Amino acid sequence: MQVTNKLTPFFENLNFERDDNTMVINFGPQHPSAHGQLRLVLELDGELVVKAYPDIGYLHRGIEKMGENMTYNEFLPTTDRLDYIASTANNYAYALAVEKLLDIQAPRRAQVIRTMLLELNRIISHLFFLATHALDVGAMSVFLYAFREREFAMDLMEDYCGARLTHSAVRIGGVPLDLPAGWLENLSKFLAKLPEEIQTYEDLLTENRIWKMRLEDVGVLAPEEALSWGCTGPMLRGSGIKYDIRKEEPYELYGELDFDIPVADTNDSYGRYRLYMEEMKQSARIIKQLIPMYAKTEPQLMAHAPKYISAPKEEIMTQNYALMQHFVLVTQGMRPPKGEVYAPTESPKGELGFYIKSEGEPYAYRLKCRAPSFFHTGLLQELLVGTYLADVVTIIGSTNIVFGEVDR
Amino acid sequence: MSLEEFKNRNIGKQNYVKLDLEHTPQTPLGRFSRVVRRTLKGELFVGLYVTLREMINALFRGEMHTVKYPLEKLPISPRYRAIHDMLRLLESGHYRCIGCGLCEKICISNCIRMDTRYDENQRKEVSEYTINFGRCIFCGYCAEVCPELAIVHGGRYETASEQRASFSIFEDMLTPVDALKQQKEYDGFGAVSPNADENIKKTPLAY
Repeated sequence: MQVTNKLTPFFENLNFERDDNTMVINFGPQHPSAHGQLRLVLELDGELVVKAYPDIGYLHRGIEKMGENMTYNEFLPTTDRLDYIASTANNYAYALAVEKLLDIQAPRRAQVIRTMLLELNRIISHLFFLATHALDVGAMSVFLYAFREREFAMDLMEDYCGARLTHSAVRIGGVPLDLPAGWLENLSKFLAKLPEEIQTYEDLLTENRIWKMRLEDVGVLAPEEALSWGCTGPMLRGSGIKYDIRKEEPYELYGELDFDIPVADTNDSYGRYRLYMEEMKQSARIIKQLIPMYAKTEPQLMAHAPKYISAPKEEIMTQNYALMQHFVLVTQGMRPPKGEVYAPTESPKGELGFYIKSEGEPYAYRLKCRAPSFFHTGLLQELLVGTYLADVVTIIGSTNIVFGEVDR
Repeated sequence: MSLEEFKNRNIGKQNYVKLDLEHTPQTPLGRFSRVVRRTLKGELFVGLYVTLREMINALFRGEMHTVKYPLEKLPISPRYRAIHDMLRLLESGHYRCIGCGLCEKICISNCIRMDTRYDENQRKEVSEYTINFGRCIFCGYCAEVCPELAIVHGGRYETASEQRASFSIFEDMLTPVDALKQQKEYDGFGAVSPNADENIKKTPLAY
């Protein structure tokens, strides 16, 4: 291997023929447990990992650049393709940043619906984490059961917005649709069933000796390391640091809701697994509080800001001025004031935020997405060293990285 | 929030709950007793019981959660965003599209192409309208911006075809004239609000 440092690794010119006893292997980019397009170059001494280089970029689509060449509204469906496990969280983070830039606030009903969808997405994402993590470690039944529940949650998303994966369920300034009739009843049914199902997974995993052997003291991330690598979300809380943006910088309705944030202090993969399970229960608790709040709201769904946001459809179809405004906003795009803005949100994987620099044009001058998985991927080069090859898969699963948002 | 305020936030003072987790014992005796404790535990039987229960539920109690796909199909939601439909006016049977081009403009993947001309009555007509379904990402924005509720999403989700051109023609997406009675309004993106009647105000221009 050439002499390289962390900043300039020569991934192209790897020397796989080694004179000493070490071996260099490629893990990915098409490895089924690499969660997408992660390529890991591992230097092995026997079964022990001596060096690990995460190599990313196999899914790079230039989404940030696309955002600078699209009007603000047009970019929103593109954010679905970041963290495609919980699309609404991305849509929301982007919409929140633009709303902050425009200085508008979504009406109350939209806020209730958004918070519901965000927490539903958190459940979907955590179930996906549990399923793939268990599958990677070797517990296949959990994968099947967790995906079954996830399908029911995605049915709810489909009933609301018409898509199962790429939701686009949030708009700048509100939500596009009201909840369909009977949706809240279905949601309550799902939430009533969820604890039983979580109990099923816990019965299969939490005390299981094989699961414990594979996860306990694997991927130990000290609190100082977690901070210095810029970890957020469950990775940070799994290391015993109390930080959740929903509590520290409340956005949407989180300030009014009553929920707990679990923190694990064992720093290992097992603690993080328990944390994800607890977070699912807390999400269900949040949604249960939101259901009675919905009935108390006014039916308005989009903020009233004619300069930036089109009127509702019935107004467009009846009012001349609303129609003219709609044409201008669609063909030219909204022109937000000059300024720059960063809005952090707690996505299922950690801190997801969009930075937008606006020059007053319909296109952002600069758009940057701060995605949590990117930082958790960089962390791998520290976390994997000194572990065994069999644990690599566990650790990657435990970091819960999704490559849509790493490569962007 | 200013930088000073930002740095002096009370981080970690809210309701955080520490999970009750067992730490790895440090002493040899502690480790030994943990091995004994875990060896004698019956948790594997609980796991076996769970899988057995699920199997019995699926096979004998009619709780099978899979369907035999091409033979059985699950219903899709009325808001589902599948292959587009072009709707007709219920009164005249003429297509609703007025050729304004908003869907063509907003389309994120630039897959809508349309052309218009004036017909003999000096009325704008859509002479060509295609959607390239190889590029369409089904985001629903075309339905959302349409000011005439003309382009909506339909329920056709099996998009395999022998030829790319097969389902991108205007006439194919248009409701057949004889099926006009069965034409349904789309409930998803771009639909009018449920309380639309209350929202409509009289136009400012009295005419």
